[in-house]
Amino acid sequence: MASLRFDLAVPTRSFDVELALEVGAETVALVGPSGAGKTTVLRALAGLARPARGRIACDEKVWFDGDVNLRPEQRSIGFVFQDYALFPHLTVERNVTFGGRAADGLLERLRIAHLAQAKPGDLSGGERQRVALARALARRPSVLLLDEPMGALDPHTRASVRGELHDFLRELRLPTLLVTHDFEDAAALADRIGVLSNGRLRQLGTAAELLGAPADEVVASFAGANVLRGTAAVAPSALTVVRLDGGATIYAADEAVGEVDVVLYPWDVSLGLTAPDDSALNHLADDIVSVARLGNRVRVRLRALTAEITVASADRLALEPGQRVVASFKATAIRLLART
Amino acid sequence: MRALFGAVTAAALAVVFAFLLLPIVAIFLRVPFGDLLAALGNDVTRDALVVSLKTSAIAHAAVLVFGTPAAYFLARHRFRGRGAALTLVELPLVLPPAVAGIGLLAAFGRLGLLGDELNALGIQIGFTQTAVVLAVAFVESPFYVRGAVAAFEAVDGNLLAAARTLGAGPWRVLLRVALPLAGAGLGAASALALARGLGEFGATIIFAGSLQGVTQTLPLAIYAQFDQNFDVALAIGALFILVGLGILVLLKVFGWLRFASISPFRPAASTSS
Repeated sequence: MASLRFDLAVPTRSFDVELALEVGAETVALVGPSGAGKTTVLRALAGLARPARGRIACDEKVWFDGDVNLRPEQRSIGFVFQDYALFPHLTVERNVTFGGRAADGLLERLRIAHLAQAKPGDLSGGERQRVALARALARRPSVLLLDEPMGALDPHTRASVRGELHDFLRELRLPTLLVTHDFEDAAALADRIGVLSNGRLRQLGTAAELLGAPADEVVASFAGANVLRGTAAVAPSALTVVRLDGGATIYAADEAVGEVDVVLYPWDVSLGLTAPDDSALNHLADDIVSVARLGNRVRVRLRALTAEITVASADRLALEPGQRVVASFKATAIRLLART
Repeated sequence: MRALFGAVTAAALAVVFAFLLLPIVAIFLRVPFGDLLAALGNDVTRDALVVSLKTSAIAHAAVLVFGTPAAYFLARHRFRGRGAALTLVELPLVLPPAVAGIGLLAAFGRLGLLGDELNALGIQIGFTQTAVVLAVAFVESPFYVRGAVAAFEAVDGNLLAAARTLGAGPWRVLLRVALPLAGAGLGAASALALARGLGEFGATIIFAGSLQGVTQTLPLAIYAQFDQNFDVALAIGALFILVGLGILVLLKVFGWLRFASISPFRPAASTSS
């Protein structure tokens, strides 16, 4: 079974990226804010940037360690660059066969055979992505590296291209490492996700694991959660009371004492015009900042937190910016992370 | 005030154009087109044309062969002293050609820095056609290298990196990706350098002299003829103007090619604006 193993320290302008990972026949996504050092890791794996120290091995072959440092052209990698880096002066077919191997059905598999004689400048974003994939795979690499593969796509085509790419990577069964700043892309494409921040791996796990038990506030906010700061204390009936920095008080089922980050996902927050009489323990009155529709859901941003509700609910409540609403959530929906 | 401003700028423009065009118009008014061809048939002109074409071709080939890899290196590598190297390349641009001629004489002349070594090898450079080639190459090289560095720097580094991840070694990256993509810029730099080389005068006359049929190039022939046979000097001048216009058109074409190769949208062939 093919696998890529590495344990690296790569210098960037402001810090060293340190990362150890083993990627089997699966897709691993490295996510994190821009400037977290994600692209640096890919470039180091490809031999385009020199690590300060560490080791890279693909199956039994060592690509980099104290004595060995294979050149990019000697490493069995397929690299899909950000913005795809297709050769603008060559046709699609010549781009794909640049590595010296025949395209052998790749154009058909990626549905770009009809574009064989076109130049990259004439293609749409989705088509360019498929050409870049075909080109990267034409050399039959042992490892596939993708740098922001969804970055150059417009929002309309994003969802469908994401689905296709996911299916394609699944069929490929190649050790694949992709880099993205978008948690949704990572969750849709990858089997495991590593959250990178300031050059350190904060957490590595499935999307469900990162959402359910984020290791810290960086992971939580990256996964799309609300992160509120407060001070926790023990409350009666086995609950924790948290006095938020904003002044309000909420109750959580998690146990914690002292300074905490309160993690709360937008889809666990419901909205009403008045405080409802239900099982939710927590009610916060707040003003609406913005209302944005995302497919069949509506993302409502309040001053302190964000809620995600159905279009039907949003229509029924006739929500609009400036309006005062009550956000409700259960004590069990909250994760408390001790702040270190 | 606005009207006055408009009048002043328009007048300045008229002065600039009149000043730049008058000498050119004068040459063509003095030489009827028929006489121009006749004057070019003259021995002095023919010899000078042959010397100019031969030395320029050799010098230009050498500048391309050595200048292109050097420019690629300067464009692609960051190293200590890179700024100094780039400045040094431009030195001949700001030197008076006479200084270049003296310098070349001091380096390659019979009594120069390498004189003894060259003598021992039985090579004499001063006042030969080799001297013309060296002088031309010296003054035109910064025009080419400077433009070539800019052309290579304009090539997206990710394209070169992509070629390497596809298994291409450094030679293939240069030949298949960097050269084609920098081609238009290299062509423009090459045309400009060629024009400068063809017009070279000061360094040549000091380092190579002005021997008809050996080292007398077209510009030197103008100088030699203008007090003997003014019409021949004028005819050569007219020839230069035509070549110069040709090179300017070539530069425009290269400029357009560069735009077309970078633009993601191919300009439609039918539109004209």
